[in-house]
Amino acid sequence: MIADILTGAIRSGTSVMLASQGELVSERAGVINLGTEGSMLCGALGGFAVTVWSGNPWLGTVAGGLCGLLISLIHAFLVISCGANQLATGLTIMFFGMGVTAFFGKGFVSQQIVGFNPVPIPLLSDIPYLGKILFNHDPLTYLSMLLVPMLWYLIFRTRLGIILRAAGEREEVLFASGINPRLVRYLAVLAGGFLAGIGGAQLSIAYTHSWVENMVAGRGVVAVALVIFASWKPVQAMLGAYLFGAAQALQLTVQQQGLAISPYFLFMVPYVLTLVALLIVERRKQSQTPEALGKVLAGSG
Amino acid sequence: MEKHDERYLLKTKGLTKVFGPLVANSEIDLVVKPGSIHAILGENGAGKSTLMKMLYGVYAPDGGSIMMDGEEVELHPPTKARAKGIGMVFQDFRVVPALTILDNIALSVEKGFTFNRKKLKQRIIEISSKYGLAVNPDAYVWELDLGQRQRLEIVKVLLAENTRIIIFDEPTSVLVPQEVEAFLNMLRMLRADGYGILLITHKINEVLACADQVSVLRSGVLTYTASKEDGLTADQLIGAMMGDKELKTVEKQSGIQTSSELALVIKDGMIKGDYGEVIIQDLNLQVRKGQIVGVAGISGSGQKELAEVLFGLRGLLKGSIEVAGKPLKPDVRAFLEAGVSFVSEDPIKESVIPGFSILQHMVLDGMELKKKGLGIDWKALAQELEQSEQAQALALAASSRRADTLSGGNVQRMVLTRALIRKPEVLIISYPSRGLDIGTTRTIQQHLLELAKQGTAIVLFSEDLDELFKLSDQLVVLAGKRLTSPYETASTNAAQIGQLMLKGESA
Repeated sequence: MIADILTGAIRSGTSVMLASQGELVSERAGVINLGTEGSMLCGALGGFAVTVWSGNPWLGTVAGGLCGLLISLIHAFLVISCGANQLATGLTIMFFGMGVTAFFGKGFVSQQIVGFNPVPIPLLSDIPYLGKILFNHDPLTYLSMLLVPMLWYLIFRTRLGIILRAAGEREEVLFASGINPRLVRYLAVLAGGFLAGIGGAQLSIAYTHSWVENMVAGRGVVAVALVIFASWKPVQAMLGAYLFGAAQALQLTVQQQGLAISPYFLFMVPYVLTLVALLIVERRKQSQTPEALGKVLAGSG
Repeated sequence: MEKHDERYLLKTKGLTKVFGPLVANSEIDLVVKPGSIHAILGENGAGKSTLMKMLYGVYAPDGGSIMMDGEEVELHPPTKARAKGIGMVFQDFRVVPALTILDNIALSVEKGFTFNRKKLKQRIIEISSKYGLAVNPDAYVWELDLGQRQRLEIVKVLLAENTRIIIFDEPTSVLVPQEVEAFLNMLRMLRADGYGILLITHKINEVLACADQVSVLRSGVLTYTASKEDGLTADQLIGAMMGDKELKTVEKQSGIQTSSELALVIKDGMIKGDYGEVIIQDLNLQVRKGQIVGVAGISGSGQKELAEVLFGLRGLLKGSIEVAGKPLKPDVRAFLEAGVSFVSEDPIKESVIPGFSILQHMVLDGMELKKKGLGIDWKALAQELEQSEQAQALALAASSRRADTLSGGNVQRMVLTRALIRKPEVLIISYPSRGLDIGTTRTIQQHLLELAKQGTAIVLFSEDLDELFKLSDQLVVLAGKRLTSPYETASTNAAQIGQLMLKGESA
């Protein structure tokens, strides 16, 4: 049963993980994007629709990413170019995403797709116990696992990463180096939206193989919370996402066992766990918050 | 041909910069030679920073020309100035605290999206050991003290391609005396290697110690230029800086017996910071009536937290604080009622409501009211304020001016007037002369001395050792999470205090 929960942790945590990696990039540049939820929803619907039309889940994935990117473009424009409040704008975009996908998604509710299915990796998946947990997933999940070390390298070992972090800390310093911090922020938010869109697409194309209204169900918001929980570090964000996934898998397992616990109560568990995790982390002594982000969170951005 | 008559790196002719009605720089002619240190001397607001910002390309000049290599050049924006080989070490360092030294340097020195970390690290170590600029490339900037941050900035400038001219903006203001000596030595090494150095400062001693050329700015005009061969003297330079303005001399009368009555006592205190970390432990402090105790220390050693404790804004974790023999709880109201006044280190942020007038600030802070029916007689109040001895001495701006229209210096005047007008029993004052010109600074210092003479106990926080020595009866030093025991000003010296600032009392 534990192996089942761990496998499920990765399977249902991947969408959140992709979105949180994207949000991490955006927040490193100093923009918090609560619209991630909207980006995920649009990615889920867009990806699903294109998969239905083309029969090709890879095309669907790219389409999902682009849909997420478009939604985040609204956020980037309002926040970076117009100086709108990041939290208010993000919330609004989240609800906009819900509405727009509910409207356009009606016709897709009963559609069926083949989508992505688990592909066991030869040899590796034969490793007892671990093989089943780690190496029996859909292609998007494998890619998302590769993404994490790549992002880590990008953020902490390249000049591009330094520029990204400087944009979230002291934009004057970037200006002084002849780099436009606004451009950096735009790109970071768009990259975040793209990854959130792919996360949404993973949910509809690879995980559930269906479209259901509001199927993201707060995963985008959890992704934002996880980034803070992870102190803006990719590996920690991945672990956080899998923790959330494990809670979901646990809830499913408990339901399958037929225990007499209200399913509504169980739905709550992953979110409560996330809250507890945040509570623990917020008691840390030294603040790791990027300075520009701190201003937003304190209400003056 | 002009360019053959003398060697120069940069030459300005009639350089002018205007901000609205204010002429910040008027017709400045300046020459920077290779292998030479050129000091730009002037009071606050004389236009030094504006001039340097034009040379570094932050501002585009409104008139005049800049010549380099025999041709007229445009330096705005700074990327162009840097490409021409001009580097600047700012007063507020342009660094990202959350990044390591290596990353900060890579940000400004490297070009592509990836870079060779090992090679850059090697270059940093080479250049820093060559000029005695000890830095650890892997340290985070937030861990560094101001002196180390400055060294980082200098390494950054030196590593940039083709740097020929380095502009230093008030470089020694963040250094303790021992570091100043090392810094001046480094300047001399740079000079020997052929760099052209522009040193902005208001410290005459440093100019005399190392400059080959001096230019004095007053109200945006170059009033005085001389070179070492002409023979430089302190009196000459002060005269050139001040013009015909009369300068009060502040002198502490010696031998005044301070009362033995204790005004302020902290016993065995401990202070924690915002993240629960220990800032100061085993804290003991005694201030008698009529005594000025100066608190020295490298900035960020706990000055802010200690000052907040002394005004009840922050609680002591252990130990007790007594004002006039009465133990007080951390409650600002209780401290105010006990006669404590407070001038914070960042008045613009902490003591000012932007939309309120000066008069409203005074009333908010408890200036005695004149009633008119149910309301306040604002007119009479304004008159009383403007005619008060304190307001006049400090040249307070009109009482109806809104705080957000005031310059930093004027805000400082307002906050000081407010603190002095109460005739406090105890005055906690941080950085009283920050952002003020010499004239006002001296007036304030005079006021503090007089206040002490009338029996006020004063705790003075300052970065300026000269000021501390001039005003204080006793000096205490914050270093290594401790406050030293008091040193009588008359029997110590700057070198000893500097040593304490660096190493604490154990050394």
